[in-house]
Amino acid sequence: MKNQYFKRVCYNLRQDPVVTIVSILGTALSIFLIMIVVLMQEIQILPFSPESNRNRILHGDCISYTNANNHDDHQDLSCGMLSEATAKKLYTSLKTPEAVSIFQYPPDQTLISVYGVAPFSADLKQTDDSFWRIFDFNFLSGKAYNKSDFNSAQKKAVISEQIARRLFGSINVVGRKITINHSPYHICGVVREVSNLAESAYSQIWIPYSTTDITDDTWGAPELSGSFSTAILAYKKKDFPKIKAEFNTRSAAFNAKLKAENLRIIDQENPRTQFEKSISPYSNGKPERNKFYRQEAFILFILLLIPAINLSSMTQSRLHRYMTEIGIRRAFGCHRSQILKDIIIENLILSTIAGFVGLLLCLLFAYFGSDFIFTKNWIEDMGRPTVSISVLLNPILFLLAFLFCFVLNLMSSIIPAWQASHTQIINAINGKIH
Amino acid sequence: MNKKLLRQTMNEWHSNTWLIVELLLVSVLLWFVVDYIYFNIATYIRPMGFDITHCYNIQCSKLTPSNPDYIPADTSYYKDMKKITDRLRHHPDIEAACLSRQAYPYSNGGRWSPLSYDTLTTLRVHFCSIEPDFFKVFRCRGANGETPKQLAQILEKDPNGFLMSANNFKESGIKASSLVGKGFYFYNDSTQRHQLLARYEPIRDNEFLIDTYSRSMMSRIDDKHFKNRHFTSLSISVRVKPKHDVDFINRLSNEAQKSMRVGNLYISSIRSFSSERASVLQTYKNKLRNYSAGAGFLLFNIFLGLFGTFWFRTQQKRSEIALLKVIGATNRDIFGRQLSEGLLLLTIASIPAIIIDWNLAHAQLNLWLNDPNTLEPIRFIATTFITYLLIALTIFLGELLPAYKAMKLPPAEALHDE
Repeated sequence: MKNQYFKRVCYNLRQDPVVTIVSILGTALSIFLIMIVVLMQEIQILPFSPESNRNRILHGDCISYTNANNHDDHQDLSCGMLSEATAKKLYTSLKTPEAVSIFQYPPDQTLISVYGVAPFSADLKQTDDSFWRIFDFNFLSGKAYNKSDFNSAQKKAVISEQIARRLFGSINVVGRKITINHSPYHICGVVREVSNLAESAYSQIWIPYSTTDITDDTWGAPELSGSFSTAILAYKKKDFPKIKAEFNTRSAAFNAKLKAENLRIIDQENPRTQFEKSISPYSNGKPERNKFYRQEAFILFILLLIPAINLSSMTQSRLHRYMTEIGIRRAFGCHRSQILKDIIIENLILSTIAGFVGLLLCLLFAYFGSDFIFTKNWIEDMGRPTVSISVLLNPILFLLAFLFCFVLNLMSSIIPAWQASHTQIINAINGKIH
Repeated sequence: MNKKLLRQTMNEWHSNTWLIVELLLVSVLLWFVVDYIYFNIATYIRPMGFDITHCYNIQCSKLTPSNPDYIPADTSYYKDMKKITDRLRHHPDIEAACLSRQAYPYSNGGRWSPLSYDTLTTLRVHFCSIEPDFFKVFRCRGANGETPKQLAQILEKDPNGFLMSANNFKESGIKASSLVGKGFYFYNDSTQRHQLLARYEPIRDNEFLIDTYSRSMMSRIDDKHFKNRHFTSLSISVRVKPKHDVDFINRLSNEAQKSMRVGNLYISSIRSFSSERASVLQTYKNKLRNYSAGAGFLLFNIFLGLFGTFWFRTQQKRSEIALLKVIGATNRDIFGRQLSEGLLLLTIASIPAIIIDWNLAHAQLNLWLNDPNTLEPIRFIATTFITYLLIALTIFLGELLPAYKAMKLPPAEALHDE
């Protein structure tokens, strides 16, 4: 029986190559675009090195604050990244998480040099030592700076492979000297290049922030905001509500203290999960989940609807040819539901083939054209949005692609199939569909 | 001929429903995309009010106390920045240099507040703090045709005065040129008067900003209320002499290591304005990319739909076409008839589509171009016309091959079966 469906598909292809190929193309294009849209969002959530722990990370990004008398959470807000003092009060003191890291965000462009090489700009991120515990960098040589290095402000630097090659022509450079900010640093590790899609971890050079006076760069009344962001690693995802609850007590206590300064901070649903962060990257408001879902649903609906109408028209054309056959089958006692099922399954085989082509095209395009489709809105850094194959081969993507195929198939074949199976037998035998 | 075509299309109503529904939907969606692109192009081609060729943006950083060269006695980073600017101004490669605060093009931010004169108050304008040479670096021009040099001289003369963009007070009905020489106050503080010295052509921060965001004022930068730790909000902009603008960033980086350090400050980054521009425009480019991909998708679907359906129909109507030929229809007649069928469908679908478009524009669902009204006659006619044309062209392409096939049909063979 199953074999028969395939045989019919092949027969169709031979009988009516143009219309069949056109339907396959239409479906493939639709799945291609749908998967690109899905991937543009998923790439911000799916885990990959060095952000393999995305499922367990919460982000404490910006801080919004206002006058203590202002009870409106949307008007007259100041906002910015965190100062070290704020980050410590709100996040580092949390007890539930496995680790909390404070790091500069976004990275700064800085001139670096070594003796004998002309100075050039590179992205520099200043971090603490827990940074290396939360993000799993791929070290090609050496290792990261540790807690005692950080506490004693050792001038150590981790650099990326590309920077190492540009400066020294090699990656075995641990112990060599490099000048950053007019200060000499010793290289302690070299890591594989990081895609700037890993926003929190990305940089080209990392140094302990205890070696500079970045903590003095604060803004706003009593040093609330500065240049830092935080990442909080939970032991397991289930701990998130507990961490948020603990954070809420911290921020309430903090607010009580700030009252003396006539200020009030608004948490804006911080700390945020990777998904919440991805849908509101710069805003000083709460993540707007519903707006995001509405937008995404609208785009996907259009991307399914237009091809579905198209394919319906073509399926109907194709069915014209088989009306006589359907009529004869009906005359010999075949049930309407059987005919309906046959048409839909036959179509599903076609659209699955097409969907696979579409998905394949999408993955190839995402891999080779990542600079085109994943370019960030504000190019703040000198990195590239490269994508690794391991992310693209994620089973979630395949599942979603099949799901969309199935929906598209249903949308495009149900009406023609219904019409064909409900045609009067006499009309059907005469080749009429209505 | 046309009447016949209309009747035939009506007779085939059942099989045309799909196509008409699709054309209607696509017309509306495509119109929205076309309008979005039209809006962006219309904004993009408006004058910018400045010129950034051969211009560079220079940022400074400070040494940390742990650095052996650190000078604890250095107290004014503002003065250090001024000195670095002066050194750059005397550099042989550099035509003009200026220090500014949240003012340079593509800086994407800054302070916004209203300007007030007597009882008149403007919308919020961008407050820029600059050195007079700013006009020379970015080659801004005066509203009365003043050269950049003249504008710089005007601001040089009165440290307490200011200049504003010519589009301020546009809505107040007052002749803005008559305001030159009058005393204004800022930040709603009416105790301090500042004289308006001249007006300049509006400066837009980037190519995709509409007029409302190009209102600005320029006053002299000073170190009142200036805190050392906020020196990062200062930046130096330079214009390089055209013939020296080769590998400038590398050359200056090299020199800067040796000769451009003042107090605890040193040059930490040099970026060309074209790269500043590219990074600011990326957001808009990404959006345009998404919208264009959407338009491409819609049109490609129309192409496939028309191609598939008409290909099939040509096969179905073999004998009909053959019969037409036998009774004297020329190849051209057949070809034209096939092509006009799609256009007729489009025209039928366009009528409700335009009504929907009109309602969308009336509901202000599009972007504002000039004033708070997105329903502008020229814009609406242009965008609906372009939409119609784009779909018509796609239909034409989609029908080309099926129509050709119909035209080349050998009548005798096709009628053989009958």
